[in-house]
Amino acid sequence: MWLKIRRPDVSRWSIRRKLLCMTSVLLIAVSLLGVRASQTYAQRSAQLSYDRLLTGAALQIAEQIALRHGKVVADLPRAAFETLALAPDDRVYYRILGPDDEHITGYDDLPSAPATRVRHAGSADGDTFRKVFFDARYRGEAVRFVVLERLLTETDFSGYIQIQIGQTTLARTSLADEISLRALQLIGLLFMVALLLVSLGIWMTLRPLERLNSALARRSSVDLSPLDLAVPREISKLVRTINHFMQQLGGTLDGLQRFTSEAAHQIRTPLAGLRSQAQNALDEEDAGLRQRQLNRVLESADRLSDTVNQLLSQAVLAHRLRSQQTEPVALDQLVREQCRQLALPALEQGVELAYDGDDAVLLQANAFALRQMVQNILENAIRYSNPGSEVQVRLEQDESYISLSVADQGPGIPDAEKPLVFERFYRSPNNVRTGSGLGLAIAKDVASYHRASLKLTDNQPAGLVVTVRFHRRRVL
Amino acid sequence: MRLSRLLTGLLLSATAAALQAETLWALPAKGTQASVLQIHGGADFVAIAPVLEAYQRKYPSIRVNYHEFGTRELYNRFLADLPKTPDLVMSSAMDLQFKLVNDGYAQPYRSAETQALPDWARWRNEIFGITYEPAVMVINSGFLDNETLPSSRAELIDLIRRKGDQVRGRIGTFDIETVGIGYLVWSHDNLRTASNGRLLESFSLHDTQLFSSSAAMLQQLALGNIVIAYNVLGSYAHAWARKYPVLSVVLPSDYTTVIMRSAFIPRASGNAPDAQRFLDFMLSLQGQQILADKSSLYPIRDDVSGETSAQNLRLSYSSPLRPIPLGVSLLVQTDAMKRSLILEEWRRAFEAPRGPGASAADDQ
Ligand SMILES: Nc1ncnc2c1ncn2[C@@H]1O[C@H](COP(=O)(O)OP(=O)(O)OP(=O)(O)O)[C@@H](O)[C@H]1O
Ligand SMILES: [Mg+2]
Repeated sequence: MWLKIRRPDVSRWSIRRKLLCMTSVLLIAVSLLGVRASQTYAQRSAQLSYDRLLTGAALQIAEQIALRHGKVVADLPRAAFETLALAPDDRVYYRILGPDDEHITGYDDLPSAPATRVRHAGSADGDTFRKVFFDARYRGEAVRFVVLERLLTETDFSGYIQIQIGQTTLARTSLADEISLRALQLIGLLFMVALLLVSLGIWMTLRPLERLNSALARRSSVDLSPLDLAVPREISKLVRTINHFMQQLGGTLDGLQRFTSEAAHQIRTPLAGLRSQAQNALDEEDAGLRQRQLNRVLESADRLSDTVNQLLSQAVLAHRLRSQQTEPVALDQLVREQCRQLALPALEQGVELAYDGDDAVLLQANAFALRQMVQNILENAIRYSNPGSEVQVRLEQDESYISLSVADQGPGIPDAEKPLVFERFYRSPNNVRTGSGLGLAIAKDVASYHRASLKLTDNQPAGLVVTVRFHRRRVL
Repeated sequence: MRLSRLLTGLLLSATAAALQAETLWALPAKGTQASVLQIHGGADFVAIAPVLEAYQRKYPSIRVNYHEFGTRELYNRFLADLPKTPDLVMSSAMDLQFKLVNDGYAQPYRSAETQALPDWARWRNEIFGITYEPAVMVINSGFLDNETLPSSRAELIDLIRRKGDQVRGRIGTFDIETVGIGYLVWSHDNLRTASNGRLLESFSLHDTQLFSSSAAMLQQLALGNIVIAYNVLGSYAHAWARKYPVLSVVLPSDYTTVIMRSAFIPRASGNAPDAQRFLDFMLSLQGQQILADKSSLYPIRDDVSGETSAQNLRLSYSSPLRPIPLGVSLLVQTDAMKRSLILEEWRRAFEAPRGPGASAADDQ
C-alpha cells in the first residue's frame, strides 16, 4: 500500500479545530503580553516599595544629623535600621559624607552615584533634600543605593551632607517574583476559563450543523421533502439552499422518470408493431405481398433506429452539457458547416438551402451542443418543406445579440401547437413524416443551456421561422 | 574545682606571644589526626570545652585549635588577618559578629539543624545563634535586711535612692568601653528605652564600679565588697548563686535583654566541612544538652531540658524576655560615631576613677 505523506491541508480541518487553534493562538498571545506586562509591573512596584523603605531610612538618618561645636555629628537612629530590616535577609551598607565629601561615618568604600544624576535629580522638597537611586555591584552583590542630600544650615555654616544607603536586592526580587507569580496564576486561570468558554461557544455554534447533519443522515434516500429545522439565521440560509436543491433534484428525478417511461413507451410500441409486421410476413403465403410486408418491417426498423439514435444523442448531449466546459466558438463557420452537410440531402428532396450571414460571429459556447441544435432545426426545416421551396438561414449580430434564424416555406405550426412542439416525443397529429419528436426538445435544452431564447414565428405567406437569440453579454 | 578538673584533660599551650589578648588552646585529635579545625572564640574556653570534648569524641580524627580573644579583639583580628581566616568564629558580641556577616565575610550553610533554629536566631543562613544569655541583676541579699528584692529597674533605682550611702561605691557593672557584651547590652537598652538615662544617672551618683568580666564582678559581690551587680550574664550569675546562696539573681520584670552567642563560618575558611560538622553538633540535641548541663549555658533549642534551657527560662520567670534579634538593626551599635556618642555619655557619667576590676582583659 502506498502511504502518502501529505502536508496538513488546513482547508480540510474541522471548523472546531480551526476555531480552537485560532482562539488558542490569540489567547496565548494575549496571555504572553499579560505575563510580560505583569512582570514589568511586578518589578516596578517591588522597586517602588523598597525604594520607599530606603528613602524612609535615609530621611530618618538625615533628621539625626546636626552640627555640634562646628562638627557634623550623625546620631544614627535605630528606627532607620528597623525600617530597613523589613527586608529581613538583605545586607545593608551606609555612609554619611559631610560637605566637601568628608567622611563622617559608615562604609568608606561605597560606590558613588553617577555624578550627573545627583545634580539633576530634583525633588518636591525644593533644595532642602535631593535624592537619587542607582544600582551598583558592591562586595560581589547587586546593591540598590539611595543617595540623599540634605542642606544643613546653621548661623555660621551651610553645606550639603550626603546620606547613602545601599541594600541588597533579595527582598525586592522575591517580592517581584511573588507578584508576578500571582499574576501568572491569575492569567493562567483566565486562560483556562476563556478556553473553556470558547470551546463551549464553538460547541454551541456548531450544534445546529450537527443537528442538520443528523436530520439529513436519518432520511431515506428517496425522501426529498423540505427540511423543517429550527436553526440560527446563518444556517437557515444553508437549509433553504438544501431545500431548494432537493426540490430541483426532485424535479430532475421526476423528469428523468417521465423521460424513461416515455422512452420505454416510444420504443415498446414500434417494437410491438415491428414484431407483428414480421409475424405477418412470416404467415404470408403470397410472395409479392410478403415482399411488401418485409419492406415495411425494414422501414419500421429504420424509424426505430432513428428514435433510438435521437434518444442516445440526447443522453450524450445532456452528459456533455453537464461535464464539458465552454469554449470560444465561431458560430458562422459552425452554421455554414452544417448547411454544407445538409445541402445534398435537401436537394434530394428538392429543397434549396440558402445561407446569408455575418462573418466572425464569436460566441462562448459548447460547440458539440450547438452543432446538434443547428442540425435539428435545419433537418426540421428541410423535412417539412415542400419540394421546390427554399430554406433561408440567416446569422446576424449587433452589440448585444447574436441571432440565428431558419425560415422555411412549409406548412408551419399553428399557434396553438407552438408551445407543445418543444415537448419530448410530441409530433404534430397531421404530420406524415417519420420522426421521433425529440429534435426541438433537444434544441430547446441547448438553447436554454446557453441562455438563449428559442422562438417560433410564422413565415409569410406560409412556413415557419425558428429564431435562436444569444445574449452577447451573458457569457457562461 | 570544676575549672581545674577540665583543664587536666587538655593540652594547654597558651601562647605567651606579643599578643597578650590571644590564648591558644590546642586539642589534639583523639585518634589519628586527619584535619585541623581553627576556631576563633570570644567565649572563654572553659565554657565551650565540654562541647569540644564531645565533638572530638564523635570525630576523633580532628584536631581543634581554639583561639580565645576578647570580643572586640576577635573582631579586629579577623579584619587584620584577612584574607586568612579561621574555620569558625564564635562570639557573644552579636553586633560585631553581625557586622562581619553583613559585610560578606561569612559563607551560607543550610542543614536540618540550622533550619530548626527560630527565625530571630539565624540570618541569611550565614550566622547562627547557639546559646541564650539573659542579662540579669544579682543582689547580695545580705545587705537588704528584711526588704524585698527589687524586681525591676524602677525598683532598683528606688532601692539605690533609699539606701543612699549604704550602696555608694558598692554597685558594679561592666565597663562598656572595654567589654564587648557590656557595650552590646547597654547600647541596646539605651536605644530601646528612655529610662536608661535615669539608671545611668543613679549609677554615676553612687560611684558605681566598672568591671571587665562577670567573674570579677560576681567575686566582689560574693565577698560583699559590692552589693548590686547590674547586667551580669545569666549563666555565670546562676552558677555563682548556686555556690553562694546569699546571691539572688533577678531577671528584671520590666524587660530582660537576652543576647546570643553566635557562630559563623568565614567565606575563606580552609576547612568548612569540619566547621559545618561542629556547628551542626553544637546545634544538635546532644550538643545543646551538653552546653546546658556541663557549661550551664542556655541552649537555644526549645526541646532541651534542664535548668538553663530556653524553655525553662521562659516558663519559670514572668519576665518578658527580649532577645536581641540577628538583623541589620545591630549595625547601629557598630557605627563608629554612634559608639563614640554612647561612650561619651557613659564617660561623662563616670568621670570618677575606675573601679578595681577595670583592665583591658577578657570580657566575660
Ligand atoms: N419547419 C417545420 N414546419 C412545420 N412543422 C414543423 C417544423 N418543425 C417541426 N415541426 C413540427 O413539430 C414537430 C416536432 O418536431 P421535432 O423536430 O421535435 O420532431 P420530429 O421532427 O417529428 O422528429 P425528429 O426527432 O426526427 O426531429 C414535428 O413533428 C412537426 O410536426
Ligand atoms: Mg425534427
